[in-house]
Amino acid sequence: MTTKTVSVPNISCGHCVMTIQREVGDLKGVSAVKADQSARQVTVSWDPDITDWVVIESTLKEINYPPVP
Amino acid sequence: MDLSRQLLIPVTGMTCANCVATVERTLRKTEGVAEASVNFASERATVRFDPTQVREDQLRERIARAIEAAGYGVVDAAPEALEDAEAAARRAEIADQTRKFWTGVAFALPLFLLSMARDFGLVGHWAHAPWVNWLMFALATPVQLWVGWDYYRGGWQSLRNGSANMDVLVAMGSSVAYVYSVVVAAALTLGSNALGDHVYFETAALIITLIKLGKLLEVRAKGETGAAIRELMGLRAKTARVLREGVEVDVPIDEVVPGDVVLVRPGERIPVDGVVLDGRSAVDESMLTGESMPVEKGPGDAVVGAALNREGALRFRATRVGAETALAQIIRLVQQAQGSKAPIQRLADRVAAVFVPVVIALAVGTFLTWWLLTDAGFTAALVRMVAVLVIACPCALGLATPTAVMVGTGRGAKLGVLFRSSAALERAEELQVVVLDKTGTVTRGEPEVLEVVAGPGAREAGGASAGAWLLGVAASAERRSEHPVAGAVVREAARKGVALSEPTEFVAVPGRGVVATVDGRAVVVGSRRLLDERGVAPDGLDADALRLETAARTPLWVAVDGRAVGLLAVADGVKEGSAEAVADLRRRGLRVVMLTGDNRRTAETIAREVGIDDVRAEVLPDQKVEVVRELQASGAVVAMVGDGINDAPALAQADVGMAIGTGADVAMEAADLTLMRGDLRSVPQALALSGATMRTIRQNLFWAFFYNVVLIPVAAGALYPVAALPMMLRQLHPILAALAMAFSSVTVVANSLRLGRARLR
Repeated sequence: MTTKTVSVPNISCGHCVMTIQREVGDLKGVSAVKADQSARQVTVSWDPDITDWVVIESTLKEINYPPVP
Repeated sequence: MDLSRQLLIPVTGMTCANCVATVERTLRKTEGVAEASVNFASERATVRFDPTQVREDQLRERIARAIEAAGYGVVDAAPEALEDAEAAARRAEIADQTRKFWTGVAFALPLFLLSMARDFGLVGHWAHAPWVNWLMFALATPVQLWVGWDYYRGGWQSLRNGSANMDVLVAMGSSVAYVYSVVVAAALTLGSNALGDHVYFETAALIITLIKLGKLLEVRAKGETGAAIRELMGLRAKTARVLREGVEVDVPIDEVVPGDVVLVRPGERIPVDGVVLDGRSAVDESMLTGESMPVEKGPGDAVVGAALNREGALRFRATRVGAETALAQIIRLVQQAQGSKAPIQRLADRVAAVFVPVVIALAVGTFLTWWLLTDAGFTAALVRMVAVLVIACPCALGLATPTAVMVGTGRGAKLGVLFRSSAALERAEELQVVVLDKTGTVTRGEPEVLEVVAGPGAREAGGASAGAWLLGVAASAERRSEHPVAGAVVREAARKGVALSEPTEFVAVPGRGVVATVDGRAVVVGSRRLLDERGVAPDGLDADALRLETAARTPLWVAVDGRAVGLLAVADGVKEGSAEAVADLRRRGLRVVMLTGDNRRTAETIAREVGIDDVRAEVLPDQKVEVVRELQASGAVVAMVGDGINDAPALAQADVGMAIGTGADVAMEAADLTLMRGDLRSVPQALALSGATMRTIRQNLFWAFFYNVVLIPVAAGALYPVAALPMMLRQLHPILAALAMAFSSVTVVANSLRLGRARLR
């Protein structure tokens, strides 16, 4: 199990949190996703055998919440 | 793929720009949706779909499910009901603010009296007992937390956007006063007076209540944007008479489909857009095109929905229905324009944005100075910092704009300039470009006789008063006609005091003129074509007719007993005061543009007469809003002055929309202000009033801050080292805070009242 926390400056309201948790949570292999509105951070846990950070990152980009390094 | 159909879906719950992206993405993923776009401001999603692939009701249901799954709401209501919801929301807002204001008064007034009585020693020694502070706490708390809740919310939103508005200032000042007072009250109860014995509960409550009064005045002055849309919807015919299997049936307007054959009788509204199959009539399209003259319609001509059929019966084939009609397009344009209009930042907020950081810096500076540079100690330094924050919050600030706006709009009403939005009153001062619609705005909007040309025949019959004789003959022949041109001739005759006779025979020839018998003579009044048809010779008047046409005037021929006797020049003349108003606007340094759907020659003639050199002619109704947008894109603050339904989108788009009071209701609802006198001289007056109001607001802001700013050094303890001064000035006393509030509020209100008599320049 791998966990990673990234900064997502685009998070601006409760809807954003919901959208991120729903869209990333729907990905295969993602076991937990937590978006924090005030810290503007997203923490994702996933199984490295099934999926990969690149997939998660591209999903975040696609839904208009690109993570910044 | 046929993407001709679109749905407009009201979406609720969107709080930020990302929400827009989310909803758009959700819609695009929904099966059956071809294109989707979401407008954040108007809270509406526009969806294009292929009607051959999916049924509208199915799609609506699917979209509603998807949007709700994404965490937003869909208002399942017809647009009319939606606008009513807006009115209801506005009423609820007014009721809420009223309730909060009076609650504030009910608690703050006794609190203020009690506190003043105590400070001035008007009551017994009991008033200094610790429990009195808790009584004050009990009075101040509902005001702070319930009445003042809106400032916390508004202030938080403003801070998140990275700026400090008036709400921040109010929330900060009142909270500091309140929290500090609670701490002092607690310390006094516990027997410590390390923090002093001054509480500022009444300062906090008064600030909140007075500013609430300003907010209440403001929401009551706020115009409804939905009314324009409602008016437009009201123009739609409810039913249409169509041929179904050869039988005439009345059907609801929604059931008319392109290709239907529709019948309209005289006096009825045309229900949908279409092309005339047979019949002949004059149709009043003024509401849509702005042109006052009825348009002759025959087979092959296009008709637009919502236009009024005047004379004959028409049979036409429906081409565009529902959301595709010209009227529906205007409704959409108005909606878009209202939705895209950026809210302007109010002057009071701009001042607060600078003032708040300065005050915080001063307060912190005070604290550090006393704590680090003197031996006053931490507590005394803290008390001074609190005093600075408390005194800096100007409670008259909330009254500065609303009272001036109230007096300004009242003054406007007396001048015949009705402001619907107070923002417009603030904005009008900054205008750089004024766009004038031609018909009905610069001109009267109805034909009038501008010149009488008596030919040889008239001179033989009438001698020296040939003109009056000619007018008398023409008006007598025309007096039975309903046509607007006939009305102009009869009015002109009445104005010149010419006696008329009753025609013994009268026939109106649609689109040509009239043929009548007056005092036993055969009279023909109408177009050259009518004279030709009757075999009348022009009798040398052709040159005059050409001259009139070049001057953009329509020559109306008059013939008596088979001989042309003269011409009446008919045109939509310039309104009284138009030229004066244009000159005035130019003197103020404004650029004046005239906009019209009319042909270039007519437009330029009128423009020359009133002194406008920037003319946009032959502009289609839906392009007017584009012209305004282009001017705005170049950075200018633009006013639009118009009177017709076709002007409504441009009126809504303009920074300040001004409707002529004699025009369509829709135009008035879409505009920010209405010129009731109906003439253009009210435009510079409105600008002068705006200027005077803004001057008053600026003075008010100055006075609102003045007393407080003067007291900041006192609060900061700058006078403390001067031992000769009374203690009240060496250290901020609540009395000083209360007096500052009282003086600044009275000054502000009195200054606003002065605006009622100010000279307007």
